[in-house]
Amino acid sequence: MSETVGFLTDTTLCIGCKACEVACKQWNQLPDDGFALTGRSYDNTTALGASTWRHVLFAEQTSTTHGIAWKMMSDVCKHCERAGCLEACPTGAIIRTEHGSIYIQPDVCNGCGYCVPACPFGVVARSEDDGRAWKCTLCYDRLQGQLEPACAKACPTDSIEFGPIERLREKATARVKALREQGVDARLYGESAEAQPGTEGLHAFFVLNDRPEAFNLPPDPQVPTKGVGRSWLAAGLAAAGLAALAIGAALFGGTHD
Amino acid sequence: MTDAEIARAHERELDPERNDARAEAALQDAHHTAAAPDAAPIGDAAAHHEHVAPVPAVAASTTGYYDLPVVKAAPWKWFVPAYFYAGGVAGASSLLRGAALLARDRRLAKQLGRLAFAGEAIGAALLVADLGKPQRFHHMMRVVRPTSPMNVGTWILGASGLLGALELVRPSKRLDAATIAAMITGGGLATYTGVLIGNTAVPAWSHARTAMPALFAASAGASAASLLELAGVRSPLVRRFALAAKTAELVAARAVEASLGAGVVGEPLREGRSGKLWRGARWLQGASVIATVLRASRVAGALGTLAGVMTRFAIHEAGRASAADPRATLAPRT
Amino acid sequence: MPGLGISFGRGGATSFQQDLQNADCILIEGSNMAECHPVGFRWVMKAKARGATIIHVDPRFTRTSAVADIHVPIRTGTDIAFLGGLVHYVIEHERYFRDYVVAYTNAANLVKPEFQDTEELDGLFSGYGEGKYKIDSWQYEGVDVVPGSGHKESVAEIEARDPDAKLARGIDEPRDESLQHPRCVFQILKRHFARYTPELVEQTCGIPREKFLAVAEALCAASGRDKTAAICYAVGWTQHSVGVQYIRTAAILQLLLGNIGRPGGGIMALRGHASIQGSTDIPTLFDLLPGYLPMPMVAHAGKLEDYIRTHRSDSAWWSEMPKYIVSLLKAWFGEHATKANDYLFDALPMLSGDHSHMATISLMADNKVRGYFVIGENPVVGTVGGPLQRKGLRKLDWLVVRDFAPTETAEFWRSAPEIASGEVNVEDIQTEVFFFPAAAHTEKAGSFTNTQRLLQWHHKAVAPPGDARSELWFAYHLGQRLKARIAESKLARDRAIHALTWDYPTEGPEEEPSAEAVLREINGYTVADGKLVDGFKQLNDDGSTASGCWIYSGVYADDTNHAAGRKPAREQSYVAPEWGWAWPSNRRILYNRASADPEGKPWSAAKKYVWWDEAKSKWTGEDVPDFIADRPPSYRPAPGASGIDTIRGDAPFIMQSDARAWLFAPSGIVDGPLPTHYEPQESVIANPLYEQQCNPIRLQWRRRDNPYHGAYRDKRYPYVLTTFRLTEHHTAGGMSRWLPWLSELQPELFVEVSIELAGELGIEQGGWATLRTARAELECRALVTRRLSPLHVGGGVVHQIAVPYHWGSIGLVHGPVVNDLFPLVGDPSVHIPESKVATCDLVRGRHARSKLAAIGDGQMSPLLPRHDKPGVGQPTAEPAQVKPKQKEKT
Ligand SMILES: Nc1nc2c(c(=O)[nH]1)N[C@H]1C(S)=C(S)[C@@H](COP(=O)(O)OP(=O)(O)OC[C@H]3O[C@@H](n4cnc5c(=O)[nH]c(N)nc54)[C@H](O)[C@@H]3O)O[C@H]1N2
Ligand SMILES: Nc1nc2c(c(=O)[nH]1)N[C@H]1C(S)=C(S)[C@@H](COP(=O)(O)OP(=O)(O)OC[C@H]3O[C@@H](n4cnc5c(=O)[nH]c(N)nc54)[C@H](O)[C@@H]3O)O[C@H]1N2
Ligand code: SF4
Ligand code: SF4
Ligand code: SF4
Ligand code: SF4
Ligand code: SF4
Ligand SMILES: [Mo]
Repeated sequence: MSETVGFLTDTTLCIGCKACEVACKQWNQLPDDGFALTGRSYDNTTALGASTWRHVLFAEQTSTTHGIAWKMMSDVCKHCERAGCLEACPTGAIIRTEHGSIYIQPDVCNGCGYCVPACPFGVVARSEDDGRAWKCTLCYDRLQGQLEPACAKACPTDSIEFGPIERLREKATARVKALREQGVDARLYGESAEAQPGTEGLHAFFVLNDRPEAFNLPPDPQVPTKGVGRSWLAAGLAAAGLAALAIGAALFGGTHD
Repeated sequence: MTDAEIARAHERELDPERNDARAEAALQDAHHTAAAPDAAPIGDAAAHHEHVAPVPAVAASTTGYYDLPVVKAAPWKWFVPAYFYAGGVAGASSLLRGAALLARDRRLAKQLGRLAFAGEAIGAALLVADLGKPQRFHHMMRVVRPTSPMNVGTWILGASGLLGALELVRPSKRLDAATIAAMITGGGLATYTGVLIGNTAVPAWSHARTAMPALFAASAGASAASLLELAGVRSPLVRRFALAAKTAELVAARAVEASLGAGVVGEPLREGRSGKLWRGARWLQGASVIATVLRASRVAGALGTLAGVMTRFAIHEAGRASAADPRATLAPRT
Repeated sequence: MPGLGISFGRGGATSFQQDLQNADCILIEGSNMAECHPVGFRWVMKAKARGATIIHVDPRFTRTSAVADIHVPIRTGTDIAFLGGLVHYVIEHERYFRDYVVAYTNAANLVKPEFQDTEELDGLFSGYGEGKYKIDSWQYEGVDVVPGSGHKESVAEIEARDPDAKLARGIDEPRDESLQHPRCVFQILKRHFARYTPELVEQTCGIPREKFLAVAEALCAASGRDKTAAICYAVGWTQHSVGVQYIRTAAILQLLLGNIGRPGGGIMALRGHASIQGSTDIPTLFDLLPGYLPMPMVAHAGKLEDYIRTHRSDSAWWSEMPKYIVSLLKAWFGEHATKANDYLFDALPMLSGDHSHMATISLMADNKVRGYFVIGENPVVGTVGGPLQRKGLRKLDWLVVRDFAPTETAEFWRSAPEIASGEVNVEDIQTEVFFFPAAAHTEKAGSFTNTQRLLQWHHKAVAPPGDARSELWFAYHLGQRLKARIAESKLARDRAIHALTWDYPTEGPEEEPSAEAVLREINGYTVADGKLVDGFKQLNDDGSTASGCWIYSGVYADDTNHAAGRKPAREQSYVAPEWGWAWPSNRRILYNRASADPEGKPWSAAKKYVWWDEAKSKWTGEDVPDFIADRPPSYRPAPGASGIDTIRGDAPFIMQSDARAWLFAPSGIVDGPLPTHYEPQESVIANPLYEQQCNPIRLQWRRRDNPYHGAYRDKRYPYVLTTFRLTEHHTAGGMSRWLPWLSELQPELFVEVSIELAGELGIEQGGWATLRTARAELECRALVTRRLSPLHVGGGVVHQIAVPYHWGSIGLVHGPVVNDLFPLVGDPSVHIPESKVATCDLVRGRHARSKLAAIGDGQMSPLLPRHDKPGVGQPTAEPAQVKPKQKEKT
């Protein structure tokens, strides 16, 4: 199956059961992140990282209509159309697979760590233990076996849906329209290049029941490489400038003062 | 909710202004949702795993998720800023070597050749040391990837390393092809690191993606010159170059500050450890300019070297601080 | 679950979770369904997507509330007031489903003139004396009533009193179908709940009037011919000293709204452990035999005839009961059981009193118990009164624990707080502890009976490691050894073991008994040829058939293990009759005859489920009809009819002796024919309704090492404490605290505190706090949250505090045992501990003196310094007042 697949994660359906987070850790045999109470609602794993590839956020909020709102969202690697991590990776360890997903080849990664700051979503991280970079693989191994990703499989409410992104896009658009008609503040996040020019669209996109910021998603993420041309130009000029200074210093004023 | 309203909502969604709580409130009241303008996560302002702080008062809705970072800082250790310095010195030295040959100062050129190679060798060592899997350093040259400044940079470093080595075994007597090639790779070496950090999601770096290369170039020149001064190399060429480069660095630094702006994004250059380093470096560099003018070359060299090292560490630190501050990431881009 | 059994006839959820998707409104109360039944909650989300209104009534705002349309914060322990308010609303505004109510419930039945209500007796029903009720005055006019389920000993008294009393048969009891007669159940109900107004609900539960009315409207709007509403509950209701009556109130409400036996309706009892329903069907309970047959009592002097006379009803399905007890005795004692020897009925153990868990603990602490098996339980963490529990264990001769890894219970002698604090030293403990490693469900074959009475078979996937063995193996081989041991014994007490049929085929080197053989025996067979029966209709009372549990009979019909049926739902109707097997007779919705009107036609097209097919002249539909398959709606029993012939063609509740659902329970329940609001054992306020503060016949253990906090409006323990579960852990933690992937998600015990109270006490987010009750005190971190909010109750403000109870001293993550805080006190009908509510104090910082009432000198002195601010739930003026005893009428 070499069709482009991805996730639709719908926060309006999430019950914060963390089955996705645990299923991911179990399938990928990831270590725990340590046992510490953060005091941040029911979120004790804090963020995506080298050992947490699905992470459930718990935003406790007061609200005018409901007294309290408690919004849960299962975050994951977005498998961007323009992936900062991939474009930054100097070794070619990060590739786009036949499923359109972004995959880090552990046997190639040399742990330079450059992908880490290159991700506009703070997803990928370098493992303290083995020095390599890790993140969601979109269950590449399971897809080879015609199995859906572990997290989607485990989700009891279909808050995580896996499938061809074309189909997911239609579904998401319809869903948001329906929700808005019900008066729910629902919005799409990253479903297409038009909606998110900075990344040219995500393969793992979201239906959000709040502002992206509430779930620590950047309002309009930019793949860093978009500006790299300008940087190189600036670098060229700067180098030339430095050369000019040097040559100038050599040519004007002779060898004696 | 009417289509018009939906349309407006969409508009707002594409509009950085939506970070304004009022705008959002307007949208939400339009179709009574659970989320309210004063919606704010309960919990710790700047909490991390180890400690937990008290419940904050209801914050503005622009705050993200418990003020946790949105992007991740580069996991680099001190090796990398140190490499920025060493690589810079190497690059600038290669350039200056060309100039020295042009001025027929063979002695200076020889010294610069050694300096350049030292910088390249030490720099390479530092880079490998920082890798999570050093034994795989050669994977850097598995591919050629123009979109990856680190990849391009590795090729540049490799090339200028080769040329540097060549220069050692067979010092060139005039401005020949090898020297010109070395000047070009040197220029790259002195500047690509600026591109490298600019090409990240770290606000304090990426917002200055065009000013950074200039700063790195000027600072490279200043650093190389300072080392020569420190080594007591008595050469008017070096003095003139030192003056020019150091002044250029002061100007470029201003340019960097300007491109980060007076807002949250620029904060790391003004506050905290990075702020201290940054301001310190500026003062020292200023002082070293004066010292150069006064011909107190060893003092100038010492001050300039310190300034050069501090500048690299300041920028590296600023990156950390910036990545850790969600306001910087969530702030509307300029 | 007598609450449901007494009202409808069977002690099980009336519906199945997949059917929740058909509900137009779902009231989740006393359950945190999304967190504790996340997979079943899928169907709630499906209903929501269909536009159903989801309501969550809970002291806390939970992950369930987060996706509900309405969240209603309630004061812990006041649900009867809230549900009673709904009953009042439904009657007051005539929103009840009249046709349904008149035809299918006992609303029209007349009750004896002697009956007196709590409204007349200030919180007591007629018949109260010496801490218990005589139920004579609760009977229908002119007839006595034998319950289909629940407590039958009460009836024994009636019989003792009047051997030839006329028993209710649902044929000729006096009724007034106009529902006007002052003594008809409907009018009694109306009077009983007359005071449960929105105002009273507000005063008692702290629920604002508007919120209450919103819920009432939503429920009524979603009930009737074309719509149905469902109710889901779990232990937020049951774990109270009047828990069974909570469920009774829900049953009354659902009957008035006509929501029982219909798609999208019903009452989902969300059971706990994977097979906890199974453990009441084939009970681990002291007072039941398999299939809800009552345990013999000493009163029966071992005479089967007396036992049957007490428990059998002359009418409806329970008249079949002799067939089930005899078949059970045949299954157990085989050829040894003959008509001549009463099928060895007298070899069965007989009840001499309360042998429930709590009673046993207190006996243990008094040195009256010598040995104790703990199999698949971790009572030191899981059961209230932890310290008393451990005190008991210390006095045993021997303790057997079967679990995956040593639990706090197995390690009570070295990891308990009193050991750590040095109050008790290990040398002084004489108890010999035997730990047996247990095989997990993946390592053995067998069946689970889940929350919806569904038997699902699991196959052995891998062999158990090392010495780990299945429960089946343990029980079987222990039985064999006992038999060998007493082979020569002539003692009467050994007869049962002698006679026990214990001949299951075994497999493999470990001699693992065949679980399927056990299931076949449970299904039942004809003794002569050992042929499996197709269902309990084929069982007899002449010893010709055997069955280990009559309600499971049919699970092995036509020689196939239907529990192992795995046809995916997408390949069959949503009812999925070929996935697993549900008791009884594979019915998924119980009493589904009520989904059709008295004439047998669906109440509406929208809610069509089971109906009478005139052409084929049989009942048909989506599900197995819960009725006599070919009995037409028009059928009327002959005046002299008895047994199942008394079941009218329009009477869906065939287990009940009068085939009607009981709004009013004439018998079968020990603490009142109608539910009424009582405060919990420990409360911060006085009962707003009656002088009678608590359930007058709640179970108490008044002993120095089990102190109660009797006072209310008392500065020393001014807050309400409740307990809950987290999705991330499982109960006493033996299965979750060993797993890093779960432990990292909830690493530490915490207490949920409202922002207001935290502010008052100066407690910081994540900061330390000390929680204490009259029994114990513990330290934990505070989760300061808006999900808990102060309630305005009868003038004052009540603060509620909530703690999860998953932690103990063993595993990857540790924490204090919350149940050390709770006393032994329980519901009189089911002996369940009141582990959901107590009074407590909370202070900032770490002050625990690891002092336990059960160890030290009883009552603990309050922790100083106390916040001087006249806080919450505290009196403005009046001093702490301890309720005078005689008001307890005990
Ligand atoms: N993840 C997970 N799932 C589980 C379990 C587990 O430990 N972990 N345990 C299983 C078992 S054994 C069981 S019995 C079930 C229990 O399932 P639940 O009963 O849903 O679980 P609890 O959290 O104990 O209690 C439910 C809710 O009751 C509320 N509550 C407390 N007192 C009252 C009250 O007086 N009135 C009302 N209306 N609500 C009240 C609590 O705030 C809590 O939110 O869960 C089963 N499922
Ligand atoms: N305060 C307070 N107290 C409560 C409750 C509450 O809500 N509040 N809830 C109550 C409820 S509803 C319940 S059910 C209890 C639960 O209390 P317990 O049942 O005592 O606690 P569990 O941890 O479920 O214990 C089950 C044990 O069985 C083991 N086990 C699992 N499978 C097998 C098996 O196949 N064989 C054997 N031999 N062992 C096995 C597990 O490892 C675990 O240690 O807690 C009760 N206590
Ligand atoms: S989200 Fe980050 S890690 Fe994932 S693909 Fe995009 S850039 Fe790479
Ligand atoms: S750390 Fe590994 S994956 Fe990331 S950029 Fe470096 S080589 Fe590529
Ligand atoms: S797709 Fe696989 S790897 Fe990615 S989050 Fe889901 S389970 Fe984890
Ligand atoms: S499994 Fe589904 S419902 Fe549960 S937390 Fe993950 S996304 Fe939410
Ligand atoms: S743990 Fe098992 S029983 Fe509980 S919800 Fe999950 S699947 Fe169902
Ligand atoms: Mo339970």
